[in-house]
Amino acid sequence: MVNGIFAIAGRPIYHHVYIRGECYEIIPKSKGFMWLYEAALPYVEAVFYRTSPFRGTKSYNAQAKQVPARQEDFHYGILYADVFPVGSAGIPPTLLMQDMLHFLPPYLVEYYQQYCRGEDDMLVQLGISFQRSMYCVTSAVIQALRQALLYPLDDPNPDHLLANRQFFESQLDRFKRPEARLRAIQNQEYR
Amino acid sequence: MADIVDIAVSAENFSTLVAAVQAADLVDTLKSPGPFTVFAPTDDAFAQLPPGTIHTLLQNIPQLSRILTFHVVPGKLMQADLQQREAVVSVEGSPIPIGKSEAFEIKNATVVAADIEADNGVIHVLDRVMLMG
Repeated sequence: MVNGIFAIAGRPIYHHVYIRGECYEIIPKSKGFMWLYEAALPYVEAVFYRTSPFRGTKSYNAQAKQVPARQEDFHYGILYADVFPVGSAGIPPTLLMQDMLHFLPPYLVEYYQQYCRGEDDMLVQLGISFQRSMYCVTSAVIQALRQALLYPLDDPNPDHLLANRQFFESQLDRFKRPEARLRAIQNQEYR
Repeated sequence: MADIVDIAVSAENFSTLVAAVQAADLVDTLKSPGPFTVFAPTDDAFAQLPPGTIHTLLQNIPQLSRILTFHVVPGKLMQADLQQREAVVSVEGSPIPIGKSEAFEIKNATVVAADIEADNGVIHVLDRVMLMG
């Protein structure tokens, strides 16, 4: 997996739109944006480390007060994502949450009922649990970054092994922050 | 004396680097007066990258240029100059930290040959290809 991340790290990220035969370079190819730096790492950071929302399939209307007017009330929370299927089977995160809810064991149903709006926003709570628990992704990122930016695990130099360890500890510290713990973010006050 | 490109071309262990610099159309830049400090990964360093990495980069020139210019710093910085600093800023724009241990280390690469002087700068040979971040 780590090798796979490397092999495609340099794939280009660009967005060109053709309107009436004319090409508009929204994100120009010439900028040299790369999959690893401009897509993969920011995505993992935003979605799995910071629980930003999966974008839904419908827009929210600020004039109709569908989003908070005050800046401090607005937060990147999955609450603003569209978790209910709108005229379709739903976006993948929605399907995932529905699946998780469908197979949720009774003790977890009971658990989620105690938090936030209980059954009303259980899909949202499941989405947050999912985002904060994607350890297959975060562990791959940690391994790939160690491989790319630090040293091999069997490096004979103790200074290099120390650097590896400090990197690993700094990553683990991120998971230990209070705002990274599920019980701290499964409430409506979470910002 | 020869310029940075001439030195790399005449050396035996820089064929991947030279091919990459040619593909990225950076030959003229590295032949210009500069001066530049170039951290030059050997063929072995490129060979350590996972299969497919070089192939992908050679097909995507702006991305290849970014990786290559991350190995170039404006000015002529000898080992003694570099080791007095914590970091230098690459032409790509990202910082390159300088190691603090006894061996001459640039980021996570070790310099296997330092202070190879050229008309338009200096080359330090690396045992690894560096990546930004």
